[in-house]
Amino acid sequence: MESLRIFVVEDDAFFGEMLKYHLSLNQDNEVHLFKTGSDCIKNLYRMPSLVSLDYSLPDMSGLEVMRRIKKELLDIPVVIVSGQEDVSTAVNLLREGAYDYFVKDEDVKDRLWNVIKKIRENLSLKREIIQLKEEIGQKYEFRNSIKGTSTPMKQLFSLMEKATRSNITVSISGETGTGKELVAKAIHYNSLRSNHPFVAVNVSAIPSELIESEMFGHEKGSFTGAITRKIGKFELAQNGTLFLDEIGEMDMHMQSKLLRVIQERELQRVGGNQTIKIDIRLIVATNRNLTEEVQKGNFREDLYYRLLGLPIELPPLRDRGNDSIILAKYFVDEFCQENNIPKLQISEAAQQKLMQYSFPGNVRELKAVIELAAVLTDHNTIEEKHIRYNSTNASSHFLLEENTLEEYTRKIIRFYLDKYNENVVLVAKKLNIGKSTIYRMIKENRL
Amino acid sequence: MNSTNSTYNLTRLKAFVGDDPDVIANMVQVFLKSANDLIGQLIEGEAQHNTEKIYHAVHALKPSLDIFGIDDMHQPVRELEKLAQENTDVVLLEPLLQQLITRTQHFLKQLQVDFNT
Repeated sequence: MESLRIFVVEDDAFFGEMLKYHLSLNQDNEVHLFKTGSDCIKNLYRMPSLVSLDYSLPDMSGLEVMRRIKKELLDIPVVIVSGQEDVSTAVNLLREGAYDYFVKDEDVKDRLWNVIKKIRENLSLKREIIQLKEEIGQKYEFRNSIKGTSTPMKQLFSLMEKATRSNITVSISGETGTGKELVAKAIHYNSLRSNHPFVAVNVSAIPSELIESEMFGHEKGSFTGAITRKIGKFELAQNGTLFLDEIGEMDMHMQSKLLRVIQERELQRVGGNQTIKIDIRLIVATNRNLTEEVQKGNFREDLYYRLLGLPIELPPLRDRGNDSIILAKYFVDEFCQENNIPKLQISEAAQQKLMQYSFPGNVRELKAVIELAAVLTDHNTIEEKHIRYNSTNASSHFLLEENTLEEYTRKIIRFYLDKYNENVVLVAKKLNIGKSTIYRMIKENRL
Repeated sequence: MNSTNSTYNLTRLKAFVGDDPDVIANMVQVFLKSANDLIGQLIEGEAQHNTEKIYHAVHALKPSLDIFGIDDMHQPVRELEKLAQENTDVVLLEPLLQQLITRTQHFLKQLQVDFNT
C-alpha cells in the first residue's frame, strides 16, 4: 500500500488531536499536526501527499494558506475541514483549487478516508504510468528497438539522432516491412516530446468520408451520426508526435486541409467555430515514391515540400548484409522468451539460407519465417529445412526491380562486402571475379 | 463511558478514536483544557463586549460539542455564532451566551468527575 504523509492544520487542539489519532490508525499514514498556517508552510519541504486544512486559523485564513501551498506544491490535494457551514465559502474554496470541503462533524472521518483512498489510488496509478513510460523509453531506445550493425543502419541511427534533437518534420520512406512505425516511435520516445502522446494514424485504413473527422475531430450534431463531440488525432497528439503512415494514399481534398493545418498550426473541428492551436511534431511515412506521385499529379507539390523535412530512407533487409542474421537471432530469443521455451540456436546452413534470400517482405517477413521455424524444430537448433518461405516471388523480386546490369552488379558486390565485413579478397573468391574489379569499383565510388 | 443522566455521549468520539479507555481519557484531557480556555474567552468577550472574540470561541467550541453529543446545544450554538459574526450587540447575545456557558461548564464538570481529573 502507498505510504501517505498527511498534514493536519488545526488550531483547535482537541479536534486536531482527534483527527491525527484517527488518521494514524492506518499505519501507512504518517500524520503531522500543525496549529498555525505558517507552521504548515514552513514544513512543506517534507512534501505532504495531502493537507487537511482548517479554514479559521489564528495567523492567516485557510484560503491564504491554501494559496501558499498551491504556489509551492501545485498538485498536492488540500481538503478544507471547517466549522463554516456556509455554502458560498465552500464554493469559493473549491473554485480556488481545494480538493474538497468538509464541515467539522461526525461524518468528516468517513469523508477523509474516502479522499485518502482516492489519493492512494491516484498515486499508485501515477507511479505505474511513470514506470510504464520508463519501460517504453527503454524499449524504444535506438539500439534496443532497432537491431543492425550494417553501414545503412549506422547511417539510419545517425539520422534518427539528428531527428530527436529538433522538432523538424520527418518523412520516412521504405519498402513494406522495413519498420517505418518503429523508427517513428523510436524518434518520438527519444525526443523532448517523449512525455506526451505518440499517436499513429494509418491514412489508408480510414475511409475518405471519415478522414477529416478522424484527423480534426467534430462537434456534436455536425453531421448525421455525430452524437457526441469527438477529439481528432491532431488534438490527441497535442505536445507529442503525430505519425501519419501511408501519407501517399491521402486524397487531394484532404491534402489541402492538411496543408492548411500544418501551415497555420491551428484547426477547427468539423462543424465547430473554435480555433484550436496545435503544437505537434509530425512524422510521415510512405512506401510510395512521393516525387513520382507529385509528377503524376496525385500529390500536392506544396504539401510534399512541407512534409519532406528530414527524409529518412529505410534500407530493405536485402541491403543490410549480416543484419538478417542478427535480427533472426533476436527474433528467436524473443520468441523463446515469450513462449517460455528453451533457447534455440540457428545452424550455419540455416543462416546461409537466410542470407541467400531477398526478403521482399523485409523484417516483418523475416520475423514470420523465424517464428515458423522455431515452431517446426523438434530440437534446440533451427536447421535449414525449418526455414520456409511463403513468398512466391522470392527470387524474382530482386529481378523485378528492373535495374541495369551495372546496378545489379553493384548491388551484388555491395551485398557480399557487407556480408563478409568488407573483405575484398573473400568476396572476389565467392563471386569468382577478380579482386581488382572490386577495388576499381570502390576507387570509382561505385559501391 | 456515558453519563447516566445523559449530560454527554461518547459514541461519536469513539467512532473517531476507537474504544481504548486510555485513548478516550487522553482525548478528554485535551478537550477539557481546550474547552476551559474557550469558556474563558467567552466570559472575557462578554465582559469586554468583544463580539469577534465571542465568535471565534463559539466557532471553535461548536464541533467539539457535537462530537460529545451535546445535541441540545446544536441550534443555540449556531444561532449565537451567526449573531456574533454579524457583530450583534453583546447585550442581545447574553441569553444565548449564558445558556452556552452554563451548559458547557456543567458538562465539563461531569467529564472531570467521570474521568477523575
